[in-house]
Amino acid sequence: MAKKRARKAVEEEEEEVQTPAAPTGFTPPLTRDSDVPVTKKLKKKWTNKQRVLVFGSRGIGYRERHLMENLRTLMPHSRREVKKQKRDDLRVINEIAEMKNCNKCIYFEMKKKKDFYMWISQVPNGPSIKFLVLNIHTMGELKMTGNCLRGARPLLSFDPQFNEPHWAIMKELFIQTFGIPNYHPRSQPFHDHVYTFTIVDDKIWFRNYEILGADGKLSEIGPRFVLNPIKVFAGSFGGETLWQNPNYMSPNLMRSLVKKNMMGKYLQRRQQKDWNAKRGPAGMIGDPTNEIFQTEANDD
Amino acid sequence: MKGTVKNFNLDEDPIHNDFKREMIFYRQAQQAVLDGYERLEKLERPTLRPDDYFAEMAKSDVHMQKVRKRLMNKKAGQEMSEKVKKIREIKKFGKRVQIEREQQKHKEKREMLEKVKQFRKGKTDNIDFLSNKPLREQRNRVDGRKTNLRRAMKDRKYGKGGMRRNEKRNNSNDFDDEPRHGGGFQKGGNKFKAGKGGKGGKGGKIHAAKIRPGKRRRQQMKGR
Repeated sequence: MAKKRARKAVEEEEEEVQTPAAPTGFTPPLTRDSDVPVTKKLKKKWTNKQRVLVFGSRGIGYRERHLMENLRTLMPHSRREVKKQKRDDLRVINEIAEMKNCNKCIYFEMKKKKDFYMWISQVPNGPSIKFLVLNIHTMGELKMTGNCLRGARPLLSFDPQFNEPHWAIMKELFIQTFGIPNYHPRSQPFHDHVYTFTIVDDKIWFRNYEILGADGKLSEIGPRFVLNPIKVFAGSFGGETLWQNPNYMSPNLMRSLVKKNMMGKYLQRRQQKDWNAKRGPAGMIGDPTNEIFQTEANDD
Repeated sequence: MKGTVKNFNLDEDPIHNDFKREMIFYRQAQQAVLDGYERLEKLERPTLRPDDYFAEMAKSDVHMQKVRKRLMNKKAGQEMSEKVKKIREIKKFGKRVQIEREQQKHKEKREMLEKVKQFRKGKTDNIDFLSNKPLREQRNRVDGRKTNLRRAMKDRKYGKGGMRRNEKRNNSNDFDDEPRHGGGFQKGGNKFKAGKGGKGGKGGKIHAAKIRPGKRRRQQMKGR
């Protein structure tokens, strides 16, 4: 059921072609001093220069803020940024990202202190997607018992449904954003955790598991969340709509429907009462056949 | 329009059944791990983190200690509740046994009184119930052992030996007991025959047939 994408596999093959002198069976040293600078050789190997800007707007709640922090710890190729003011347009984000030299961006915003939205975008001109985020559980919850190396490259696992067109854009963006580039200076050599993206009920469910053994024993690290896709745009934070989710109902709409339902109950009761009043009181209706026996008395 | 067939049974539908849903995710991750590790091993890349590799982790040590503590508390709580359940069971069982034993005692008492009543009324001559019949277990033990005739004879003659456990009991034996031959005073002037007393003292019941006559009597008998 799972489709696995190891970014490393593709790149490794590229490497093999370019530098045939690179040693196979290279095992990294078991200790690495933080003072030791990154060698030029490794720097040369790091060709996939992805940098993700992770930040949010003002007015984000505590749980959502922790989710943002969790994503920052899990992605060593991320850059942080201060909160964006709500008066600024979304297009401003493109300029902020350019200043930070980032080519991807994950932007969070919260509306009415209730609805939490996430934007993922390829910054200069690329596609961008807006999601509604639900069911957030952070890494700090005590039920999440797993742990992983900080900066270890994850295995990314996608549902087979991700091959359909609009899902495929999301899949590619996820791979480039959540996947850590090969030979990134802050990355660690081992693969000890796996991300799963599954489509259930037309929403994307995200899970992060620690790999305990080669036989597939897993333990959840967190965070976990559900993404409800809203729209896919051609440009970054705007532009032409490539795809719109037909099943998506904005949380505002849901709330107003619920309220209307409640109102509907009251209105219905009122109507019922009025109609009953119109019918009049239930009186005694005599037998209509009695009229036959009502004759006029002749007074002689 | 292509759509997914949704299950109308809420228990079966993974959208609503939390456990099923999580199992789907878990299985997907497991499959990914198996595939991925296979590919990595083909490329001869390191896969699993070794136990002695120390580096900065995503969650701090302090946090992991909290997690461990919580798990241990949960486990301890479970064990405690199990223990308490067991003790409760044992108590119930012990109580049952106690009640049974008491009922047995009451029954025996009732039977004894019945028999006494019957004897009083003159219905039975049997006063066996008064004899201290040994407890069921003891009786069984005695019956179980096969009698060695030679050994039994010697016992009777010389006594069993060992500590005198049940001798000085105020039993029905004493009630039935005929006075010893001569009652300590021998006819024909042999008072305080130490020999007889001594014989009695040798131990065990005094069997009338086995009491050896004195020297004079024996000589008289010999002479005849």
